[in-house]
Amino acid sequence: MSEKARRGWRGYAFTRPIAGSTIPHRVQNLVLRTYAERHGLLFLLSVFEYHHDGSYMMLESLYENLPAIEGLLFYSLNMLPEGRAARERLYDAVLSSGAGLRFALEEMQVSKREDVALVEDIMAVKALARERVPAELVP
Amino acid sequence: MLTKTRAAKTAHRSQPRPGFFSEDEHAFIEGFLRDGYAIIPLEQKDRLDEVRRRVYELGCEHLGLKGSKRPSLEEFLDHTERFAGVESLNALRLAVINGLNSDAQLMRGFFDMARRPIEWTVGNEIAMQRTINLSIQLPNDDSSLLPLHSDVWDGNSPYEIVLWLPLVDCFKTKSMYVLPRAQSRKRIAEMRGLKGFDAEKLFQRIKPELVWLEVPYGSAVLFTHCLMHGNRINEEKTTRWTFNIRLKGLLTPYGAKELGESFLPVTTRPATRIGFEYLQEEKS
Repeated sequence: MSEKARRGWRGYAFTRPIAGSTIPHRVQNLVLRTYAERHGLLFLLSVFEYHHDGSYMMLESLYENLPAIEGLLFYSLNMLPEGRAARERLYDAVLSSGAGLRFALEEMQVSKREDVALVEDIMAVKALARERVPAELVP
Repeated sequence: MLTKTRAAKTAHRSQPRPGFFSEDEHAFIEGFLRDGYAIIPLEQKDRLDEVRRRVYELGCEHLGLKGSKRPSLEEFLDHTERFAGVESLNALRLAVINGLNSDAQLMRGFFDMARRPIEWTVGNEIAMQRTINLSIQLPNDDSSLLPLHSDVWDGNSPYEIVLWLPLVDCFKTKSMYVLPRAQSRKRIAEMRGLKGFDAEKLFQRIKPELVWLEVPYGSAVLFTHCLMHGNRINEEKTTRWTFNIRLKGLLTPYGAKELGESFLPVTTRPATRIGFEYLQEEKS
């Protein structure tokens, strides 16, 4: 049985602020389309995440469709879920279905497991910039 | 009595110097804190020679300089105005940059050439700008000037430093100028009370205090972009070719140029990764 050809990169954008700034949908789509054009990718209309904090319902609803597309095109790395476990679920869902992740603003991609390390280093530094060691973890 | 004895012993202890630095490291740090910049000799000059040759080849290719029309490397870099006008300079610059960026080892090469003084300045856990910037300044060209400024005024992090690396000998107006740190701080403090200052008027006022950096090929400048700096019309007879790259401590605050989008971690240490993972596991 021949595998059905994958088609396109699904845009993924935010309605809530990204790293503290609200980016108009139009601007996010402009960045996504420009990135796709420059890299010769077929751009599939963006899905916008729900506004409420911490929601990744729209993102998670895309997982079942991953085998049919080439991957997910995020506007920015700063839209990744804050928790490592949630990010791992995303990496697993994407990579196990043979798809990829791209981040337009940062011009970065995850197409294999080894690419995760750099993304995680960046996420670590961003998180460290926001927090201190919680008191309850200090004996 | 006991208290007195202890106090007397403590008083005789010599004051420790802050930081466990070697003599040369300490001297470098003192100079950088005083001036805000340092001119450094580059290591692995053969790698710089390779980059310079690649720039020459990419430039000649872009401008169609083949066979007998092809100048020597020295003539091409020193007298770029003979082969490209001001109107075609940006296209030449982009062609060279795009060609250089196809080399995956390029940024690593620049980092290695200045690694020791970079680490002395920002620490050894470092974020580096993702791409290099190239500047070409033809003699008497007024189209690519950088008026007196500090990059912090544009929202860049004050924790960043710049590696300014010429492909030719730079001197007098063919080079860049800086206002050393003490004067920069004084002038910036004065400016805080001013409204709508004019960069040119300010330049004229501080001109006598500026230092024009003499940087021979094979050397580079490391400077904090908190300093006031800039360039003027290149009134020398030869063209200026320079690269600049920003670096900063990985864990210091970011400004308009963010980690991921503009900077990438290049030397993340295991304790940072382990600590972060530990906290993430505790949370989940």
